[in-house]
Amino acid sequence: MNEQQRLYLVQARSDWEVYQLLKSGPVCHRLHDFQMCTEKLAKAYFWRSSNAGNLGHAAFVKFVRAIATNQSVATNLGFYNTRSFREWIKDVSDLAYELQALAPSLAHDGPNPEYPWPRDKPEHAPVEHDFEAWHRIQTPNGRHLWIMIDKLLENFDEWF
Amino acid sequence: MPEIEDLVPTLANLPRHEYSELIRQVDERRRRAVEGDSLENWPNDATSKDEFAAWIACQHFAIDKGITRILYLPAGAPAEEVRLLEVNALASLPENAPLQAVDFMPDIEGVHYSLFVADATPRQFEEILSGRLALPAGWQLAGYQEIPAMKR
Repeated sequence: MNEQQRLYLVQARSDWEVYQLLKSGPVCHRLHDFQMCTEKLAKAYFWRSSNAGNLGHAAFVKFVRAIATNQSVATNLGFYNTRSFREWIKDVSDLAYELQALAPSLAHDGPNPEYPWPRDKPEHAPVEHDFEAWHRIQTPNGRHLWIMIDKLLENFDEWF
Repeated sequence: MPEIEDLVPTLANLPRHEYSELIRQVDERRRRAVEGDSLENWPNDATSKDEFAAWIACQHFAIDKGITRILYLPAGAPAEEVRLLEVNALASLPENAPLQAVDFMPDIEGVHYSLFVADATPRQFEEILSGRLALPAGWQLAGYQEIPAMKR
C-alpha cells in the first residue's frame, strides 16, 4: 500500500467509526459519514495507480464495478463462483448509485445529507428529511453493502 | 414492441416506489437473459485477451445498471492491456472534462492482463464518435469491438 492509499484508508476507517458511533444520531449525519466512507474507501483502492486524483464523488460506483471481477475479494467474502458473487455485488451496485447521489454536488437541488435545499431558496433541511436511501440501507441489500464495507476496511491491506 | 417515446410519458408519471420496482424487475429479467455459461467461471491462464475483455464487459453489464454500451479498444494497446470504453447513462461525470482511464486492476488467479476502463456519458460518447472529444492519451477508436449487451 502506498502513502496515498494509506491516507484515504485511515480516513475511511475513521468515517466508518463515526458512522457507528452515531447510532442514535440523526439519519442525515449517519448517511453523510456512510457516503464519505464509501467514497474514501474507493479512492484508497484506486490510488494504487497514480491517476486517481480526479475521481470525484463518483468513485464508489466505479469501485464496486472494479471489485466485481476481483477473485480475491469474492473468495474472501465467501463466494466461489462468479454467478453468486455477481448477484450479490449487483445489489450493492444499485445501492452505490443511491449513496453516490447524496453528495451535494451530485444531488443538485435534491436531497443531500449536508445542506438545506434547493440552494437558491431552501425549503428542506437534511435533519428533517426522511431519506429513501436510508430505508434502502436497512434492507437485506443494504446489509450486503454494510458487510462489504466492513470487511474491506478491515482487510484492505491483505486483500489489495 | 412499443417505442421509447411512447413509454416515457407513462413511466415518468409512475409513483417513485413503483418506478423503482419496475426498474428492479426489468433489471432482473435482463440479467437473467444474459447469464450465459461462459460467465459462470473465472477466466484463467488459457483465456485470451479478447475473451478476457468480453468476459469483463459482460460482468460490468450484468452488475451495473448504468452501463449501456461497452467498446473494447485493442488498437495501439500494449499486448497485455485491455482497454474498455464504457458508456454509462447514470455516470456523474463533468461533461467538459477529459476522459480518464482508470486502472481496474483485476485480481484473478492465472490472469495477467491489466484492465483500464474509461467511463463516458452518452453525450460524451457521441462527441467521441464525432471526433469532438478525445479518448484518454494513447487510446484509439479505430478497430473497436462493441461487446453486445444482451448477447454475451
